Amino acid sequence: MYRLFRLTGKMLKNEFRQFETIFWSLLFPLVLFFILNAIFGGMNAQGFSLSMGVVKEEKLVGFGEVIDSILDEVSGSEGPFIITEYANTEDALESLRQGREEIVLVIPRATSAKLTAAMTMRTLDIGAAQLDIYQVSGKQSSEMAAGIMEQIINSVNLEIRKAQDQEYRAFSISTEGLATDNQSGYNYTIYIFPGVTIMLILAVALFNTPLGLVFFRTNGTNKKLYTTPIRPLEYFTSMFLNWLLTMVLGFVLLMLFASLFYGVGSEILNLRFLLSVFFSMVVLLSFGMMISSFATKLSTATVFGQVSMQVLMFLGGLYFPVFTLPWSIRWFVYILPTTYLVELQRRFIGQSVSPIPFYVLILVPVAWAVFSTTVFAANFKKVMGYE
Amino acid sequence: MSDLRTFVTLIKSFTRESLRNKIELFFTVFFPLVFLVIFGLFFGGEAGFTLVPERVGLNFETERFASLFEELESMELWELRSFNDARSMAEAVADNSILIGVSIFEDELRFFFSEGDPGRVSRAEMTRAAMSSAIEASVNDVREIVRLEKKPVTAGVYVASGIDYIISGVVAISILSAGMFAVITVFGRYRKAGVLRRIKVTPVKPAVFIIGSTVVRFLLGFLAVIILVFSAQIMFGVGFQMNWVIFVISVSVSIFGMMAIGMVLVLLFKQPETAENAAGILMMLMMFLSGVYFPVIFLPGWLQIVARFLPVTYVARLVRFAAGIETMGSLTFLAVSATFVTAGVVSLAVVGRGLLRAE
Repeated sequence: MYRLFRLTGKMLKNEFRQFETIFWSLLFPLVLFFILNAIFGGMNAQGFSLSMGVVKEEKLVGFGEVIDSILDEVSGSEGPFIITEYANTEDALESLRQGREEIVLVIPRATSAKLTAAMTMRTLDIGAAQLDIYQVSGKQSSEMAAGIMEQIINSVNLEIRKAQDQEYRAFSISTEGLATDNQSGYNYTIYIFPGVTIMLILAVALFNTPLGLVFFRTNGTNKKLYTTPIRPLEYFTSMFLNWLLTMVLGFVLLMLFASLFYGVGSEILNLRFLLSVFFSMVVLLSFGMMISSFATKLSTATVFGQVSMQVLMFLGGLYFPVFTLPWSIRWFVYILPTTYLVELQRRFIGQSVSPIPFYVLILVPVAWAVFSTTVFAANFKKVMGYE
Repeated sequence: MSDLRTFVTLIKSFTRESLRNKIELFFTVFFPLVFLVIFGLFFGGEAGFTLVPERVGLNFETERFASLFEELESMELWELRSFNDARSMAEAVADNSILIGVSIFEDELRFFFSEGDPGRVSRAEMTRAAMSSAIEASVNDVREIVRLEKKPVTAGVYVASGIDYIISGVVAISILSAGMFAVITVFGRYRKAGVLRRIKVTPVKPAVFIIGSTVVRFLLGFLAVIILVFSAQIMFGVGFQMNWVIFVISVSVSIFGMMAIGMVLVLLFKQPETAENAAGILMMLMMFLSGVYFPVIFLPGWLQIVARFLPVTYVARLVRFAAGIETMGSLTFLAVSATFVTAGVVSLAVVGRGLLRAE
């Protein structure tokens, strides 16, 4: 046992002598956690600033001044728009095409008259005053800006009616976000924590594990060690412990970072979540070991590792839920172990995004672990270079 | 003449070396395809920001508004599904059969939506706002006083879709990767392996070596971009209306510009592995912050300012201009191109010559 611990200690020391290990297992998860939080953390809470070009083909008077009030409102300190007025539609559209404006609102001639008529002659259906909004097709921000403006105009119509009709029926609006644990509520920082945790586990499992196994075999280290009293299984166990400890160190650092700078605490400090993290480590380590069974050269191990990393990260739903993908690819999502592991972790911290039954979240990764370990065990002698 | 012969020999040697180095070949040419497939699938289908009608569930908790379903359906704004109870509707939201669900009570509208996906939550918010306005308007028989007519226009030479924007972003990222990692490989790895020291004692002029070594990587990067564009057209049916002259200029100057970033990293970090790791972080930062995959307006204010200084933002604009998605003024095009070329040439000349200078 002493020999095992000593060997594990030496391996761990060797692991952390490499800058790549420190970088990908310890530093990169922190950087990623920071970036994702900076971008998405306040996405729905902050106010967007959208630029809108406005063309007034006439000076708004009388009831037409309602439009001016709306524009003042939407471009005020609380409003989402920054307005620039243009003398004609052509100039405004050119700015839209050049990306200087997200949308262009054109207020045609006779708008004041139409508005006045529509508001004063209620019994006659003389039609609405039409405003034109130009948006860039396919451009997300432009389509979103047009959508927001449309909602504002809808509300204006409702408000006008409300002011005119004393029996107006107004509905109160309530929303219910669907997560497994509704009591805790959705919190992006906590939601993304398991995603980054799985990423750091993957970095060790898919880079350090196959590369380490192949490197030690191809550079002759294994052969030298087999001339010593160390048995192959003992040697492998110390390697396994070394990777596991590297993951644990990375995870502890991430936890500290998240709790110190983002106030994440009690949510992740629960036993079930910590056990699910450990479970993920074991499953993904076995996955990494399986990859090393297929790779005979370092270059092959690198390629396998990189491709698996990207697929397991993005299609496993670490950063974005994947259950909205088309079925042509969604079946693949349901095969990947990371889909279940990240969901399992999220379920224990009240940030679940999938209706997958709990037992499936355990069974599929276990199946992967058994399959991967069997493949690795069948190739054990080849992988470890043991003759 | 001798320099030309040396140059040709170097080109041949570096081409062989690049083609033999399977890892370099994989990461330059094939790895961007992995990103293309992943991001194309992610943002190209129903998960993307598209204008197809959203699927909305309706559950009536009161008989009073039972006729609402037909009235809302006649607006042809949403794909509506009726549910007998709120629970089954919530389940449909959870398994993404519908984007949002709404339970209609006497005086309350209760909306159900899935949490966790920022893009989906934004769509759900927009649909919720539109749906609540429509229900209230319908119940109160609100007559439109003001109407907004949406008029989609093209910013380029054709009406682009969301997937065209995303794929052009993937192309921009692969240009960054090709340019940045190429020089780190050449100058970082060769420096570590002692190749540069050996070159110094040969009669090969530094300029000839620098041009010879970078031209091969440049062409490889270019080939990668071409493969990516054609693959995108085959796999995702992107509608690029490519202006090939502008495309060649844009990709060329962009690779030069991205090489400048790689050279700065080679200068800052002695070990190529460290430079590659720093490049990895930069790439991740630029992927998220340069408006390639989602609008810059989603970012907090201070990050929007950072985004303005990221070169990939401008590479993406050049690619979109070349692909006919967006337009760009001639002066802007010239200014961006000149900046990239100058940065590339100056960094290659200064850093490259510095690395090859006799000790």
